[in-house]
Amino acid sequence: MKVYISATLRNFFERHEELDVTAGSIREILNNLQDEYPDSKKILFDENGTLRNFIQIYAGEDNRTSEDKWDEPLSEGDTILLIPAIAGGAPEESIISDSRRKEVSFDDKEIERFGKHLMLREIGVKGQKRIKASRVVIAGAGALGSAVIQYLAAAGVGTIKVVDFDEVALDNLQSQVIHTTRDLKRPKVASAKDKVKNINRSIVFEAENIKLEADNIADIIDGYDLVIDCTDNYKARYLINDACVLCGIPLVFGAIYQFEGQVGIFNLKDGPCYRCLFPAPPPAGLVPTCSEGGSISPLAGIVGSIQANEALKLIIGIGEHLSGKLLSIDSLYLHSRILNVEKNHSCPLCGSVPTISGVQDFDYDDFCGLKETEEIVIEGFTPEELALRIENGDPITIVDVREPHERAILRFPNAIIIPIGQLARRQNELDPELDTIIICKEGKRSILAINTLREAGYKGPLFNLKGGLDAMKDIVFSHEGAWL
Amino acid sequence: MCKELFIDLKAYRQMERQVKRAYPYEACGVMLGHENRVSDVYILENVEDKIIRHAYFSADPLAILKAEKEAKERGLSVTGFYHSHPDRAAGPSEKDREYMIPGMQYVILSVNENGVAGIKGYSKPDTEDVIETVDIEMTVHR
Repeated sequence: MKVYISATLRNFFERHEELDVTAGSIREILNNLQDEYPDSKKILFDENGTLRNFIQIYAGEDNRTSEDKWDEPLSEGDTILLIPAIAGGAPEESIISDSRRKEVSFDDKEIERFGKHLMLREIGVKGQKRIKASRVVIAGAGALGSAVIQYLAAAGVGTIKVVDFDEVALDNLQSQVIHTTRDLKRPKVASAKDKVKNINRSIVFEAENIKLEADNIADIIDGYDLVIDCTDNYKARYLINDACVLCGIPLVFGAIYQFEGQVGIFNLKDGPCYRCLFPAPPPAGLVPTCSEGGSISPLAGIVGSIQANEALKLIIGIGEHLSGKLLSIDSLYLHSRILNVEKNHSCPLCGSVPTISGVQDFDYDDFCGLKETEEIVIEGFTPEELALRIENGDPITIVDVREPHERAILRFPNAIIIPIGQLARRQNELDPELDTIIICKEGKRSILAINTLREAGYKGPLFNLKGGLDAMKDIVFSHEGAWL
Repeated sequence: MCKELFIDLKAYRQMERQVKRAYPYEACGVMLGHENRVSDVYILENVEDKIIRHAYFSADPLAILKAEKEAKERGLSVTGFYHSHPDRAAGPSEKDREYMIPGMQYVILSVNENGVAGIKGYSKPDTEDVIETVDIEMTVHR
């Protein structure tokens, strides 16, 4: 048989272009070639005896590279071609290094469990190993966290740390699908752990039943590959972003409000951080958070699933992702769009001259307007004090500044309803001779309302209901029916 | 082992045009010349599935055979292969490394919407999984 050797492989066949080999099949030709030209063995086969990817074998124009065709008889006139395959791909840009990937192995059960991933060319064994090698922190086991935690556990993330200080409450169950009625009053991290362990017992689950603060966050996230922000407030968002930048960890951000959601990736390599997009939070109380504004049940599942999907893409190193972008979704009218987020070179955190160098030396309560300023002292009543005034029948004015949907859930009797935006021009509805108590859900928007009234020149005594109506829940009036 | 690759500017311009035209998909071709001097290129078609062509390439082996036979008629030989990485760095991926034939020269061009953003050369001295970088120099022949 005539065997043609490609110029690219000829160095291993003593520079011969064409050889005459006595053989009846491809297998015999390969054997004879290796006997005749010992150098060719290592160019044809790898250390496991498998034909190398770049070798292609043709009989005439018929591709016979696959080993199951090596024993087919050859017809006399055919020339056998040994020619190269060239192929390749763009480098995978995974946040998990090759060396960590190589340390991972799978047992038979895992091969079966992750079969649907393994059959995807973009994931395969290598991608699944990266998923197993990854160590991910999920901040918040609420609505977004429910989707993120469950999907990342199901996908096979090896180490999952969940940080949440809260306990499961009844009003969580409308959207926080990781918790059930049986979990009421349990720490959220405990029910999250049960769920994860039920999905896959071999996942390393780390529960942090603690509130993220400036002095603990670096210890909590340091050494992990990825942080997923599933929190619902600005303080946590800035805290997490800043700590991620300072620890050099990429961040998958997600947020929901009513019918709208946002997802973005920050601090990935030279990408922008959350502060590049929003240098400072809105004034405290002005924008209700999800817990005050509400959201439709599946929205957190949609947004959280996208966060989990982005996290997996970063781990595997495939596709396009939302670094330098912000995906915005409107679930009511089914609009979505992607905004570009530029890196801000004057960003106080990741810009060319950063002014923030540590999580500790930054006052988040002050920055997010959570700290009451000292100049304007806002007096307030505790729920007990207010209850006592009501019980005594004192002449007082109660102003409810909550949104209509909040009042629909819990009406506060005998209160004047004035939205914050109308307070300044409707101040004459208040009697400056009487004590006026402003109420809202959590006692934060009421502070904003009092400041607004004062700025508008209202001179009467103003009081804040400390902790809002949330704190009032456990107060029992002696004549309950008449009041609440 | 030559650690330097000389590419004729005209041949480079051809590569550049091809990879820019193919963007956002990968493009590939054969480098022709002598030893570590590239004087011409032979454009290959990327026959990968369209849905993954932005990140993968492969060429028909028979087209490579045709390239090498044509080169021989013109007194040239195949010195190696080049391909592009749209929107990615010019480093070899794991798959690129697996397909490197020992002794051949490989050139990777990083390309984005503005054009070629980087060019790097590599070769695999033997069948071990060790890759050497190769310096690229452009040459002008009048």
